[in-house]
Amino acid sequence: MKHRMDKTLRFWVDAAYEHIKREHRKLTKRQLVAHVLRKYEQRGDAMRCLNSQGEIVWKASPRFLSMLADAERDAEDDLDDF
Amino acid sequence: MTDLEGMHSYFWLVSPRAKASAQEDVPYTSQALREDLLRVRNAWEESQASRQRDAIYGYLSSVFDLVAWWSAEKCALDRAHKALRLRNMNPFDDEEPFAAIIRCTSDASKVDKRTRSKWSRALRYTMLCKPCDEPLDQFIKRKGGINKCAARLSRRVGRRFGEMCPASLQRT
Repeated sequence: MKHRMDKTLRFWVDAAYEHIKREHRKLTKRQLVAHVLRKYEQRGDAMRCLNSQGEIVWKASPRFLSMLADAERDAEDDLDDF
Repeated sequence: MTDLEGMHSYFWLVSPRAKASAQEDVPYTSQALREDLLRVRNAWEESQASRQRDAIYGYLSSVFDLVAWWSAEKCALDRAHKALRLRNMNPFDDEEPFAAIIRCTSDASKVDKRTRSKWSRALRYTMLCKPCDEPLDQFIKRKGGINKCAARLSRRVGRRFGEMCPASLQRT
């Protein structure tokens, strides 16, 4: 079954996939994405829910979204200081 | 475009040396269940801290969303009972998933048995009748509120019971 994700989570899962793929050449992209999702879910950054069609999908958790917003604000502040 | 180098590595870093299995699906671990319960508990605390009249819908939506995807995997009862055990609580006989999750994520001093039963019935009715694309609060309000939804489930169950049982049993 395909891993359906919202845009935010897809972006970060793809980034994590790029980071680990060289160390796991024997595994497929699907297997590595499953590994990343598992890590994200266990640390509370990704969660599953039903979409408007009643299918199970993945999305970034509220905590992850708020951490991203904080990091973005910090980056903007750093840029202003620079 | 987001500059990855500029962002804290926490967001994209997953240890490359950690052993990755060849599984294509993602098993639902106890740690993932704990994180889900924590999110529902946070929603409870937010609802209690809010002065808005409808704040409880935020909490009920969190409970509903969790049990809804468990139900889609046909694991709701097992996982709800596991959730209770993770909180060192014993499942009651026939305790259904919504009641179990409410019991282990809210404060017993604020949610008594009757309220828990009412919320649970309202959520079960919502599960049966709500279109997937309608927000929970909108649906419940459209149907007359939490009390009405709870009563609607009781009527439905009563009707079904009436259809299945002979008249003599209905009176007992």
